[in-house]
Amino acid sequence: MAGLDVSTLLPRMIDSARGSLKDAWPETKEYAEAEFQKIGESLLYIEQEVLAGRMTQRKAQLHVKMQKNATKMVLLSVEGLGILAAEAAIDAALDVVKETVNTSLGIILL
Amino acid sequence: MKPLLRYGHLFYVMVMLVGLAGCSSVRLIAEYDELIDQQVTEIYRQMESQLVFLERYANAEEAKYEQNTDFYDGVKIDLRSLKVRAAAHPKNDITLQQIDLLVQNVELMQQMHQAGISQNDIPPLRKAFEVSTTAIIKLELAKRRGEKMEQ
Repeated sequence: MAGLDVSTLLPRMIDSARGSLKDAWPETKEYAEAEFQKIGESLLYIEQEVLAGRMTQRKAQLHVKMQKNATKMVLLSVEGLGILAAEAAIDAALDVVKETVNTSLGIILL
Repeated sequence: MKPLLRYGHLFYVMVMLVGLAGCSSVRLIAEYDELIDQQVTEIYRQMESQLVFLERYANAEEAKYEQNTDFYDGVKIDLRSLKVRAAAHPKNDITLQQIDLLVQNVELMQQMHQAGISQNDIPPLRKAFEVSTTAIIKLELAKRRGEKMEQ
């Protein structure tokens, strides 16, 4: 098994999340980085246990699948946070429309 | 394009914007559900209790898979009930996918347990469940949309 380098793995995980999130990235960066760090540490631990002969390949595969699922769950949360950010942006823009219409009419229409 | 038509388009855009602005707010994702938040926290507590137990009694008779089937049955029933609850909310696909992945992780741990769980299995299991449950709760709390954000 080739050595796992968490220091290169983490930036790649973060880059892939950042690339798909763009505008929502600043709000979700801290959360995603912390969670990817935990997953990276687990993958490193699994590798070390296998190399030391304390964990079978079969068990390592099950562990890696679990970490993969956990990663997907983080990415899904980040996607959801991005949707919420977009929703807030739309609401803010519509508030401007509401305010402008009400001000121009001089009555609270909306 | 004739100016009249341009103004016509502008009129329709204005009507649409005013119509949208008249709505209380846009909802692109489901509303916050306190029960989902509480149940996922409870499932995390169950998983952590089981991991503490397995960590302490890894090689003992009571930690063998055959002695722990009720635990897996119980957690899976709780998760499937949670999925039914989540499915009742419109635009809740992300949370539904997350619950499916959490069920898969419980099943993977179950397979691992059937093969015989050791103390060195506990740290990555603990992290996987911590990250997984946090992901669901993080999104659920964000669905509060700035209301009652104090925890």
